[in-house]
Amino acid sequence: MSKYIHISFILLCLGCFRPDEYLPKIDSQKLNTSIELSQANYYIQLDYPSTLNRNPNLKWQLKFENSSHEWGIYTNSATPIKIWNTQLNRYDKIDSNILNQGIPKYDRILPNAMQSAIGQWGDFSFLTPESFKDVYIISWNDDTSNQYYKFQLLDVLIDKTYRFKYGPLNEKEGEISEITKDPNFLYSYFNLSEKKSISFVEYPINLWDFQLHYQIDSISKNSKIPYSLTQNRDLGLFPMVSFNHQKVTVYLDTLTAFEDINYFHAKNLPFYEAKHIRGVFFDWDPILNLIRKNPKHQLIIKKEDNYFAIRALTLEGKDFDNLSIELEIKKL
Amino acid sequence: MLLFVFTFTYLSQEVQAQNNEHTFLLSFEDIQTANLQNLEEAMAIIPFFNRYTEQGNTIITYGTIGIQTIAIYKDGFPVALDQNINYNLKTIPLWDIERIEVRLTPMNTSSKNSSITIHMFSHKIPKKPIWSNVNVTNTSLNDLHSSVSVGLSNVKHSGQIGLSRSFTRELYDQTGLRSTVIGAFERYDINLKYTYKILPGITLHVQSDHSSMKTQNKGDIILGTSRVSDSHQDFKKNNLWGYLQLKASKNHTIQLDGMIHRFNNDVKDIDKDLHTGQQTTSENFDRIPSIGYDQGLIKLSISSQSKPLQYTFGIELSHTRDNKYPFINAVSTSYNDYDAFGLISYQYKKTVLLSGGINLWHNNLSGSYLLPKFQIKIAPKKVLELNFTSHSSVSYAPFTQLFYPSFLNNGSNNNILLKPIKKQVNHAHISFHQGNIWVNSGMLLINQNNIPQVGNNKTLISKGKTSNFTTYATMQFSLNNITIRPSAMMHAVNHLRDSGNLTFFYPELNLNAFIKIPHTKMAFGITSKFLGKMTKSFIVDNEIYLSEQKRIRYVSLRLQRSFMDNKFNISLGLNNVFQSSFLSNDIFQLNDIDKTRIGNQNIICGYPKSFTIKLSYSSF
Repeated sequence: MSKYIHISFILLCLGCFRPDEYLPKIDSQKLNTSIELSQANYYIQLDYPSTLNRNPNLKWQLKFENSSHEWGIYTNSATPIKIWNTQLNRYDKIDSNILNQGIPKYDRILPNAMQSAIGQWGDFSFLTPESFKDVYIISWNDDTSNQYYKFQLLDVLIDKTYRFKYGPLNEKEGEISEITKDPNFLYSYFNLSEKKSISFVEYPINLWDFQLHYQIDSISKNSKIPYSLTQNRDLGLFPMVSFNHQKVTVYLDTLTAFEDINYFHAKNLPFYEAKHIRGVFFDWDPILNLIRKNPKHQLIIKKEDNYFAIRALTLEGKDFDNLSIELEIKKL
Repeated sequence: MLLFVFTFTYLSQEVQAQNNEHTFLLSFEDIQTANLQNLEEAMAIIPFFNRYTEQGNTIITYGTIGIQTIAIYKDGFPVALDQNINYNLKTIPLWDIERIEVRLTPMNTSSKNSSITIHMFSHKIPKKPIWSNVNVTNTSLNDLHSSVSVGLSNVKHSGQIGLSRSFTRELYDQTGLRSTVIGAFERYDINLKYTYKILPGITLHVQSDHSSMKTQNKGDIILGTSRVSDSHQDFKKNNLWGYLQLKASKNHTIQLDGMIHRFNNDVKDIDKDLHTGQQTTSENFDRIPSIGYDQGLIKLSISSQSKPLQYTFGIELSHTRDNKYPFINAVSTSYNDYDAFGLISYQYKKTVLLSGGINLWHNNLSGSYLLPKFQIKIAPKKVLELNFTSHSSVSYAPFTQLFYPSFLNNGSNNNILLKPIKKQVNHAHISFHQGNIWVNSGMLLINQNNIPQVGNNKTLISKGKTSNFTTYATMQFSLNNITIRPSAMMHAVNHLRDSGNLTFFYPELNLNAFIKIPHTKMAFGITSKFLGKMTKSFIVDNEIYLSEQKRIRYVSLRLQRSFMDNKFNISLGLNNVFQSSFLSNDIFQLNDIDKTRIGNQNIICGYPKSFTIKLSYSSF
């Protein structure tokens, strides 16, 4: 009898769900990157962690948002560009006398700035060149002199083309240019003085998820973030992480240890769409007055259904002129 | 001595050919030979039908006609009422089923899905004071199916209870990774049957089927992590039905039928870390949603069996309700049907039998319809019988297309005002019966209208049309020890009668046989089905595409040996002998003058070849 019971038991055990497999721990990826000040932008791709370098092309003043659902025009944050809203919309009536009423100010890009540098936009239901949009004064230094340009957005065409008027301050008739959104790139770039679009400023969006670079901003407003001095005493060069916001959303975790961050932790975090975070990974050593890695900053990036936790593992170098950072990227 | 030996061979009911209402039959022996454990598996073998799995969804069709528009009955009651709720046929077990019939244009009283019907008949309760039987089947794929039935019977009461556990192993992806294309599933069933002969002319019959099924679909290991995302389904079904029958006179019967059916299928995504064992559960609305429905049916009919005029009149009320999402966008997800029916047959001597019926059917969403059906039989029940039937029926659009948001309708907007799919069927056949031979040959033309299609503004509208034409010949040869049933047919299908109007042909051959070898207590069975290359046309964004499905060959063999006066049987089987699990179908885009191959589509047409051992024991 016991023999039959055993046979029956074995038979019944055959038809059961198989238990899950056991897998060994998967090591996180390490990515070594040396960041040379103002020399290159570092584009990082997360799926197979790798870096692409590109020397920054700084010869542009405005960049235009290419995302299909967004309209935004930003100034070049890597060079000191000033911008001022005249609150006037008659382009031809504005000349250098306007400078007596006020001086252009530096545009400040907030850490999670989603709004465009150039004001609030109305609807675009008008097609006349003389639009009701405010004229902006944009000023920069081209190594020889200060340039002052007028800029006025006219309208958008077929929901994918920017149309704008621009020119030197004392010219009554401005140039009219169009920039069509390019879905392959995050932004389109434009040089006002050369009157042309600038290509190859950034890599196509399918090649990178975030980039390490620098941004000029006010020292007094960002005193807790490490920076490099510039010729202008008020402005510093701040390390910045910019995101490919068409593909990724982010969460900056300052509470959880890197080792404790896993998929189950990340899944419930409130990810948000950010374009930049300044100063992440870096901190001031207040005693030695040196840059050091920030152990509290764990950047978590969500890309489709994948999650990545990123932290600065090691930091070598005393200042931004000669800095090497090792990022640890853990796919969750 | 509980589980080591089993079954009982139910007395296989000899089908009397001359009384056949069916065109095709899957007998108890065929079910055993093909090792069919649930109705979805059976649909691959049943003549006329084609079953395959594509991207996790099982598709069952007869040409242009989906299983959603073909009524499935068990012992005369619809197992899923209107069939438009994506019912999982794996949850319909076959361990208590004695035969499955396919009926073409039956003269029935139902208005919905009634042009072609599938009937499952469970074993009749043996007239024994007490009896039991046990079955265990094990396969080389590590599937295990077991069932136990116990019954009691006396003059007034007869009842039985059956318990079953069935486990079917998963089928992994071709790539050899962790992901499954068909998940492993485990099903438990309790089926009850009770008949109470209250008075000589009054009978109460109650049946109930209860099933619980868990399915585990495994996902691939996510690259660079130790994590996986699996999908688990938890299905529960409770189906109670029965009738109270009153013999009002010698020829008149009044019958009250009722059915309550509730089922739920909860789908959950389970994210697991295979290193830490940590896991979390979530519901993924982007894939298969959890569903649940309540269905109810009540029917009152009076019928007369007097000669030469026979009739049946009655009314039927039914209700379907979504119990998972009772409201979607403030719209109540339910509907009611009201059906008044009449069916009259008149036989003139022994030469002509005329039958006519009409259904006045009203649905609270789509309005009222008048559905006539007509049949003429010349020389009924003679050696040679001619039969012509014209039949109208309706089928509901899928429930999701009526009520659910666009992400569950492939991006199309639902439309609560979708008309029912209307089916007009003309069927002419001739049958010959003499001695042990029954031959049936005929032609079947089915036109469908009002098939939901995507309109210009991405909203589903009732505009599609299809047609099916089939010429068939089937034969049954029965002797004491031999039963052979070959059938052959040629199908012509036109999926786009409203636009492309392309007709494609494919052949089908079936051969089922069961032969008892004299003086050896051994028997041999074979079930086989051959489907030729099949082309399907479909339209996406006003472009016509063709999908060419390669031929399919199902062959199963079985050798049975009986012991202990046929109380104990051992069967050795070989299933799916020739057919591989995966088929790669070509997809073409149709141009003005030619077709261009644009890719292929992988489908799964069954499990790989396997060996089966079955032990069965019955107490009588």
